[in-house]
Amino acid sequence: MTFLSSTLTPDSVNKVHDAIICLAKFSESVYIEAHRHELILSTINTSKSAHASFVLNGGRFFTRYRYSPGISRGRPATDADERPFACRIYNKALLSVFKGRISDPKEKDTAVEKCEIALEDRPDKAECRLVIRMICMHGVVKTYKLTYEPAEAMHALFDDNAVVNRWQIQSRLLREFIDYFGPKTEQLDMYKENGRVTFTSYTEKITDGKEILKQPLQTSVAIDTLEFEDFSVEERLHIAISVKDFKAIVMHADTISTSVSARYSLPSRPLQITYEGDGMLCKYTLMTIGDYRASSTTPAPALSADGRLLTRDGSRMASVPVGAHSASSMPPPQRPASHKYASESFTQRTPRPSPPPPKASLDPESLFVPQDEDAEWDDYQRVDQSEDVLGWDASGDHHGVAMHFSNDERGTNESSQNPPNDSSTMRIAPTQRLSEVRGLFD
Amino acid sequence: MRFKASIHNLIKLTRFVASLSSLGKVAWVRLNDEEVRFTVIPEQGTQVWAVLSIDSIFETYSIQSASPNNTINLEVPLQPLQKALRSAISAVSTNIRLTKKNGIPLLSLTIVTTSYSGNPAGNFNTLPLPTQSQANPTSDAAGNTSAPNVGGEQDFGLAPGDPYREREITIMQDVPVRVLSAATVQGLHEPRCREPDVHILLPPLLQLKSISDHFTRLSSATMKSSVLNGGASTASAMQTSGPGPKLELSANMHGCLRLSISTDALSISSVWRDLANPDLDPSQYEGGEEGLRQHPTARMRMMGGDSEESWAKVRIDGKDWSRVLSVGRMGGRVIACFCHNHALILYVYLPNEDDLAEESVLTYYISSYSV
Amino acid sequence: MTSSDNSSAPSFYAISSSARQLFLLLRCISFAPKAQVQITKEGIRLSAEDSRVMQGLAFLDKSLFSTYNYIPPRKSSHQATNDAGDDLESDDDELDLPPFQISLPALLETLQIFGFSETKDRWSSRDSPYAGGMNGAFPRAGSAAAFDTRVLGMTGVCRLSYSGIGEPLCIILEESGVTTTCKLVTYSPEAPEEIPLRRDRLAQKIIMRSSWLHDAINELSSTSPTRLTITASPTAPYFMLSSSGPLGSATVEFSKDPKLLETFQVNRRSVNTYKYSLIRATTKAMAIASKVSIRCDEQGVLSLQFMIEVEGGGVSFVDFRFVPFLPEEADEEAPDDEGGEESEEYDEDE
Repeated sequence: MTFLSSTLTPDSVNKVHDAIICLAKFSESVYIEAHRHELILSTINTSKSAHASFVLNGGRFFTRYRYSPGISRGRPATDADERPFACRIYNKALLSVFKGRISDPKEKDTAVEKCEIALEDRPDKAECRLVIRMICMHGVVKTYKLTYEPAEAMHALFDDNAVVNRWQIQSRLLREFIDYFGPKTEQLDMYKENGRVTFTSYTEKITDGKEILKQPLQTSVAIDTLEFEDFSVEERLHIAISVKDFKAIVMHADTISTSVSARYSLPSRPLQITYEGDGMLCKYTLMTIGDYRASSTTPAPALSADGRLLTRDGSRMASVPVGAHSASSMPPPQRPASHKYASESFTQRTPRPSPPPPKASLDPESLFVPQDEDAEWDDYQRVDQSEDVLGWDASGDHHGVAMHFSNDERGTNESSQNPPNDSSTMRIAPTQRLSEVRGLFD
Repeated sequence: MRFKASIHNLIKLTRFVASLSSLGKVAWVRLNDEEVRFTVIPEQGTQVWAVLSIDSIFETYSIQSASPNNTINLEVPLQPLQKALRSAISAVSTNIRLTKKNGIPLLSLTIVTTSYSGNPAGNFNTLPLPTQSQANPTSDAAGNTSAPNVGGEQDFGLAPGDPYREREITIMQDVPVRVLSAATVQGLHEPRCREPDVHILLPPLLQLKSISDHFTRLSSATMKSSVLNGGASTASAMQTSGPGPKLELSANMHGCLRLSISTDALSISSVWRDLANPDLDPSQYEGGEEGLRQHPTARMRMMGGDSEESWAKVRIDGKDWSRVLSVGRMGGRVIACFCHNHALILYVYLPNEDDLAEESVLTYYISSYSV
Repeated sequence: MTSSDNSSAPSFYAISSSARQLFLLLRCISFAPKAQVQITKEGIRLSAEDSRVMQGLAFLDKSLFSTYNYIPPRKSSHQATNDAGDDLESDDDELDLPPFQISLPALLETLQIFGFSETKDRWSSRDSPYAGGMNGAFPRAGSAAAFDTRVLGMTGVCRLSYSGIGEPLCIILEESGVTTTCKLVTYSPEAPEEIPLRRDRLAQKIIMRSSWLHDAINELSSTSPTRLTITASPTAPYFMLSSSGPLGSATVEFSKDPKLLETFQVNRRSVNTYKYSLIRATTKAMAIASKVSIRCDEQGVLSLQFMIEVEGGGVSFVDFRFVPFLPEEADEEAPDDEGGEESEEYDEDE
């Protein structure tokens, strides 16, 4: 019995392909969730620090979309009516079905004319199949039956009310500079200062001696806040996400050429990136960390509601399962209304092995040092002094740590508010201040 | 200790670093008032000594060091440096300087680029075909109705909402380096080698590299096929991980260069003719003209072109040789000096836009393998 | 000609103005380490085989060569050494040269020694892993142009010669200023039985555009299959390729539309299963051929004949034959079955 049947245009087929390419960068499996009016593709990475979802609108993304849960389950079509169906499937299988169907003019004759996606899930049959039919020119029909396993899809928790920082920018701008970030770097720090936003890719590593040379390139990209369509972010608030995740998101956003929004509260709280286009809503919830080499100017305000949801025992992001297969007794959540799901740790429900414990350096408790920053810098100073070889000429140009200048004056104004001394010389932020940069080469 | 410079020939520097990077992970770099010297000494394989004139790469160049002769010695990882330089390909300006962050010495590149891509305030809802909007930016502009926050104070001198408005992106690339003391680099000296038997101007490196690579592949391919036909299975394991097949390269003083290999399945050789055997400069040699007559190359020239004795021969590793030849991207003239059964030395003379500028020379030392 | 032969002229001497053309045809059968070479008056026949269940044959017609000079040995002079040539007694006492084997990878690598199959611009392709990004990637100005392979003159004139048993097959290629001489060691021939196709008892004959078969075979690779099932039937589905693997199954169905299947002769339904990787090994032929004839006899022996258009307007053919799995084995339908010994998996009736 087919209980999901839908039809896609070739253009939408390509969009599904783009979406699963993006999902593949997070995890090897994809959750497919069928709701009455939308189909959701989502995934969560193995360390549970990133969740990605694509909500495909039944009316706009598909040329035809029909989902009838009640009949298919063989149960009375009452309360189960609105219950979504969810399953898990290997991304690899989907990728090979949707692969490269961008119509090559040479291969015009094998081009897809339409695509039908159906789910067959019968209680009397042991095997579940996702059936995808590509109907091509001249009556060539390609049919795929993919195995899947019933699963409960995960939804990331994100507290909309806690959002205090937000920005919005054209995907193309982000696409322009993500290539600069080296593939080996792990974290991407972002902060705003003096009308410029700086994205810095870096890798946290204890490095000494010869190992220093193996440290990946650290890259900063600075652009004017004017490039953003909307920008409201606390000055000098450092927040970091995974470079890899960010690249995956930007690459995908650029395929639909849209406007990308990021919303967040504080380091060590989730950050959400959203964008939409052509009946597809793309939403990513990413765990963040603070930057250990710089500090926020404001101490972390306690957000009681949010704080409760974020467990401190290693599960970085709490998630709740939804779906027809859920044994949970709680009422099914309404999507996409609010995101206030009951707190239930995803890790407890996952059929897969638990994620490895987070790296010590990623632990916000040890990383985020809002108060005692001087001691942190002291450490570095000691290191410097011990390395006599590195005789350092600290005079002259390094007083550029001054951080107050306006847009108009940048590049010329070197504030003398912080007189040069040893400690300020060492307190160079992870990224060079523009004043310092310009001052050197005047 | 200070070093800062602005790079004016970025492509040259990028290609130079890329060429070195294929041979070794790190380079020892010596900066002083006269020149920039890069030395690559890998654990095995070809060594490179490269001297660049400052003017050929840098525009402004300032160095200040307490070491003798105002010298700074650095150990620089080549791949990160190459990547950093690459990100400056479309830069308006690129500056490099030695700095230190969090106790780690760095070569820090500051790259300013401008971009003219589409309107930042495009509204995706009104774009007819978003995936094509890049190819057709005018439709992008047409869709631009809402421009929150943009269009106010812009110091770019262009009208707000102009889709081709120039925007500036500043990129900082930090390459971690090690500062070497004068004592560390004291023992560093160029390999010494006896006078060559044959010297010859190499044919275009791309052609030489292409043919050499085919020879290397031929050697691997025919070795694999013999394995398939019941040879020892260990042979294939050696092929993949160990050094590559050995090529025989030889030349004579009659303008001929020969590359050859011989395997179970075939023997193959490529011969170039009519190449130049450049004359040596008598002023560089003891005894002048007379001394040159005693030079090994003079004796080799006396021998007839047909005799096998007139050829000086070396055996080189195919994969290593291919990496050496990647210097072809620099577009220089290359003179190969053959020390029969001993070594091959390549001098790569980089072209200068300015004829008066000092020449930059890369020297490659390649040892010959015994048969 | 730098090769100093003995006083005797070579038995075979040919010049092709396009090494590339020879390369493209021979690459179609590059699934095996060795090829058997038979030189005839009409052209050169090169064949390769895999485990006796797959055979590939490329025929280099003499029309592909600008000079084709072949002096067959006389019966009297070569009788003693020639034991493989007595099957062809076409006219009087002329014999074909006995076949020999050569290393196929060595031959292919040699033919492309001047690099026509390489990427267009080595230096810059290696220089820009950021292709597509970086606001237009690596600039190609200045000295990069000096390395365009087009300036190297890939004319690819190629001379082949062979003097007889025990002698190498000699190939000489020339390009501006460089002469490459290759001597391929010739090995004594094996005498493999040709996989027999009963042309008088064909179960199916389908002719279609090669690119469609190529597309379908590629499509099925998505399931990582070990086996490929080909179904032909006078009723729908008329022609169907299917496979299955650990992640699911896939089928490609063709309608009887004459635009699609320009010849469709199927008398009764037939279902045969072949080893997927072997069929897939013909993709180089599928990719360059214009048409393919898919024939299958009642025993299930499959013949794929590819028609390849060559420079100058002619056509060449590359043929493949495959032995099917035994019907009962095919019925087992074990997708990730590693299979036992290959030799037990096919019909050896003949």
